[in-house]
Order: sequence, then C-alpha cells, then structure tokens
Amino acid sequence: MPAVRRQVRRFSLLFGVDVQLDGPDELRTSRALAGALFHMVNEALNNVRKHTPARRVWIRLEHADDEIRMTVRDDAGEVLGLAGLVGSGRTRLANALGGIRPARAGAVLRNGRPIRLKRPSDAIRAGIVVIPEDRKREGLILAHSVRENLALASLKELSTIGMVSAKAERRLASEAVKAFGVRPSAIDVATGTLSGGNQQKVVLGKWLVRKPAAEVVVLDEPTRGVDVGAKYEIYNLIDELVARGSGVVLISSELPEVIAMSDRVLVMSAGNIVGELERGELSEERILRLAVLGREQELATSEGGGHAV
Amino acid sequence: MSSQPALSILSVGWPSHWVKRQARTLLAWSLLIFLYVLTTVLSETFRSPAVVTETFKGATFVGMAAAAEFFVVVAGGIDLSIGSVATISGMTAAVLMNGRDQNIPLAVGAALGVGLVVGVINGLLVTWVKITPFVATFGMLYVLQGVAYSYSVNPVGQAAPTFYNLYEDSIAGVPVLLLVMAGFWGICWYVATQTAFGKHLYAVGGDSGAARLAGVRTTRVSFASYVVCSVVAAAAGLLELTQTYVGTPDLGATLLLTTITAVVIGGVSLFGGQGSVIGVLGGSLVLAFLGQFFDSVQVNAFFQQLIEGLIILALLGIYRQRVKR
Repeated sequence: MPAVRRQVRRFSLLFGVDVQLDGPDELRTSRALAGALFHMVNEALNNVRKHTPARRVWIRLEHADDEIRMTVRDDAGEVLGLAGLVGSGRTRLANALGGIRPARAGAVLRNGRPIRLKRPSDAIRAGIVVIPEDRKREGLILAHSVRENLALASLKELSTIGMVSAKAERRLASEAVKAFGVRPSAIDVATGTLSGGNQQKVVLGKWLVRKPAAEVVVLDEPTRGVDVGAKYEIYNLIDELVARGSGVVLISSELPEVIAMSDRVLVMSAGNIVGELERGELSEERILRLAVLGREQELATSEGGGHAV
Repeated sequence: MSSQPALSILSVGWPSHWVKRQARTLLAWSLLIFLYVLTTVLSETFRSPAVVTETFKGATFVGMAAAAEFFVVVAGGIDLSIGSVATISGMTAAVLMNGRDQNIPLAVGAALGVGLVVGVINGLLVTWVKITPFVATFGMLYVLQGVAYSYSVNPVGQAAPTFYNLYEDSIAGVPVLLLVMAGFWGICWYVATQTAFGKHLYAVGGDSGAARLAGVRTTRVSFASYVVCSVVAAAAGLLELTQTYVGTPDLGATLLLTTITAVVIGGVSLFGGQGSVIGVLGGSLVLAFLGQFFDSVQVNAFFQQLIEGLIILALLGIYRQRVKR
C-alpha cells in the first residue's frame, strides 16, 4: 500500500498535477490523467516491494568537531533523503562515505565497527556505493561501450583467476539493458552517444547487476539533467535497489522529489545534520526552514518565537 | 535460447558497431594491405616469399617494443625509456652470455630482471612520487642511456650461438622467430581483451576517475602497466641481440620514436583507453613494409621519414575528426 501512495505522489511530482489519494474511488484528477494513473497504480500494485529480510546494517559517520551522525538502515529497505542547500555539505558527506574524498577527521562506523575508507574500492568492499552527481565525468567511461561500463564493477565476479568470460559479460550486459530499459538496447554502442537519462540508467545498472548487492547506495542528484520519462525510470530503479535489499541515500535539491521518494529525510546545513524528519513530518517548508535556519532557530520559531532574540 | 541472442545481435546491426569500434584497427590494416599491394606491383624482388618473410622478421623488434608501449599508452601513460631499457637489457645479456651457450638462461633472466627493476622504478615514480609519466620516463631514458655509455662506448659481450641462431632457425620451413612472435602477439591480445587486468588498463586509460569509482585500483593498474612495459621492452632488447650479436649502447637508440609511430599508426589513442593489440601489430608491420617499399624503389631514408611523418599526421587528423563527431 505505501508503494501505491509513493507511485501516486511520484506521478503528481512528475507532471506537476495535484493528485490526492484518499481512497481509490476519490481520485481527483482529470480524465486523461486518470488513465495513466490507473496504469501506474496497477504497475505499483504488481511491484509491491517484496521485502528481502536483509542484514541489518548501520552506517554512521562521525565528524570530529561537530559530530555528524548519520544512520543508514537497510533493514527497512529504506530510502533516506539528504536535503539541504547547495554547499551544505551533502556531496562532501557522500564523497567521504564512498571513499572518493576521504574524510579528514571522524570515522565511519559500519554495524558499530569503524571502517577505513581510503579509496572507492574500500567502500565497495564494505558494501557502500556512491554514485556521484557528475555522471559524465565520474560515473561512466563515455568512449567505452555500454557493455564495458556495465561490467566494469563486476569483473571480479565474471572472471576466474583473472580471465573474464566474454560470454558471461555479454549476458550480464544484455540482461541489464533489457531489465533497466536502456535505449538503444544495443550493448556495443559507446555510452557517450546515449541520452542523459539512459546514461544514468547505465550508471545505476552497473551497481544493480553487481553481486553481492550493495548494502548502501548513495545517489547524488540522480535526476539532474534527465528528461521526465527517464526520471520515472530512475525512480523505478531506486525502488529496484530497495527491493534487492539495499538501503538508498538520495541526495537531491528538488524538494518534491526528496519528499516523494524518501522514508526519512536528514537535513544538512553548514556541514552539519540539523534535523531528521520522518515521513509523516515531511513538507517543503519544514525542510527549507531547517536547511536555512539550522536546528535551534527552527525549534525556537516553531515554539512561537517567544524567546527568540 | 541459444539462437535468441544471436538474432538480437544481428538485429541491432552488430557489424556496423563492430566496424565503428574497430575503425582504427581496420585503418591500420588497410594501409598495410595497400602498401603490400603497392610494393608487390612496383618491385619485382618483393614478389619472392623469402623477402616477405624477411620483412616480417624485420618487424619483430619494433613490433615487440610497440606492444610494450601499447600497455602503458592504453592505460593513459607513456614510457619514453623503452629504447634505453632495450639497450641495457641487450648489453646485460651480451656481457653475461659472453658467447657461451650455458650462460643463456642466466643472461636472459638477468636481462628481464633489469627490465623488471626499471619498470618498478618507473611505476613508483609515476604512481607514488606522482611525477608526470612523460617527465619521469624521460628522466629514466637519460639515466639508463648514461649507465649504458659509462659502462662502455664500444660494443661489449657476445651472443651465444644457440641464441643468435634463433633468428635464422626454422621448424618445417617456418622461421622460429615468427612462431615466437605469433605466440607473443596471441598472449598480448589475450591479456588485453580477455582478462580483468586488460580491461582495467582500458578503463584506467579511458577515464581513471570513473574507473576508480567502479572499484578499480587505478594506481596499482598503472603501476603494473609500467612494469609490463619495461619487461616486454627488455625482451625486445634480447630479440634485437639475436641480430646484432653484440651489446651496443645505441642498440635501442631509434626505438622510442619508431614504437610510438607504430602505436599511433596502429590506432592507439595517446590519451589512453582506446586501441587494440591487433592494430599495433598492423602498425609495426606497416613500418616494416614501408621500409621495404622505400628500399625496393630506392628512395633515400630521409624521404622515408618524411612519409612516415605525413602518415602519422594524416591519421591523427582523421581520428581528430572522429572525436569531434
């Protein structure tokens, strides 16, 4: 049932239409939209998350001076939103988690035990995958084929004593292309010739096909510069990640997207996590207020501003 | 089930993708065939199989060095010390062999060992000290050249008979040298295309940032590329020793420019990540056939250089157009 709600909210997010779902009979939408919506709701019902009882994993990041604490739970198959203004440290946090730019101080704890993240391969081994914002520069080798890009993270699994099975590689790539709807569906085209949305699908697909599945996947602005149709498919890929037992951290500057996709949202401001909002508490206003003012002020104003100076 | 993928491969136009991906390799081989036909038409001596075999044999030394350079260039680096590694390797082997067959294993081992040491130093300079590959290996070129000339300005040592006979020997009419080279190129092709190491080389050369994010240990991979390059370059030095008989400090003097020429003609991008072993083989054969062609039509060597230069510029111009799309 929550999956249906999510689909509906996603629908309104994509098309900028206000859709309210109080009961299946009370869909207040135009007739044209209702058809599409019906299709989506149906699809959602068919895809109601089959929860894999995943290992419980907590990733916690502690900052030396200010103590950033972030907990990613994957037992709930959770999408954790990370909101904040540009420059609030979201990407920095993601890069530290992924070993892309190791944190200068503090520690990342996995299931309570500190892990060393000096380079991305350390993070990947610990089950943390970070997909950075700039997919052109960092997510893909544009001159190389879709097949090569999809297989790159799985080479170890595809090979025996260093020899890669070409057959297994092709199978992995064509299955991924089919499953994630990458267009064109040819696996030997250079990824640079694909549209932005399809490139992003290849980036996400690279980690979806990798076994074992990542415990935590951090997505930094996955839908930036992507058309509406591909956005929808990327949201589906995020659901797919969750269904496969990964916890997802979603960094996005588009508040409606964060609200629609997340089960829980952490708000960052000036390098710190200033608030945590559960799903029921999510609203653009609350997120923005936290992001701009920080925690204390938010509390003060919400108490009526009585002792605000 | 098994026929399904084949059909879908055909339906997406597999041949055109293949042609697109292999365009540079195909270009190198077209050039080779063109040269071959041209030389055969223009020169009567070239029509004898013996001369063709000789041309192939002549291509082995540069070919092997070009393969060595390929592994570094495809991973986004460059190794300018390749010629001096061949020199040092050849001199070491010649001195240790000293004309005696029983010394061959020791001499070959030592020569390859020298290559290994130089490769490790090059690799450390680039990945650990973080000197630009161009500068680091340029420095190494001078150091090794200095070592070679300070050891001896004149030819030293002597190759053992069994060793240098390798150049002339043949099994059932096929020269041993060509058999060795066929095996060598086969291994290179396999390593570059069918192993995780090879794919990592391409990934690091293609985009080291993206490769790192995909979990590739990029510094390790480029380090390894320098080691492989120097060891293979040392092997090329040994190969050259089968023809020169003695170790000379200018054994690999002209090697650097010819290998880079072969690599470029073979369609390897000097920015890394693109190119193929088969292309490099084609590139080194083009050089050999070009030399043969100019010999047969009796044009002087300087004109040959001019033509080589023009070919390089023309090819780079064509690749540049392709990049722009």
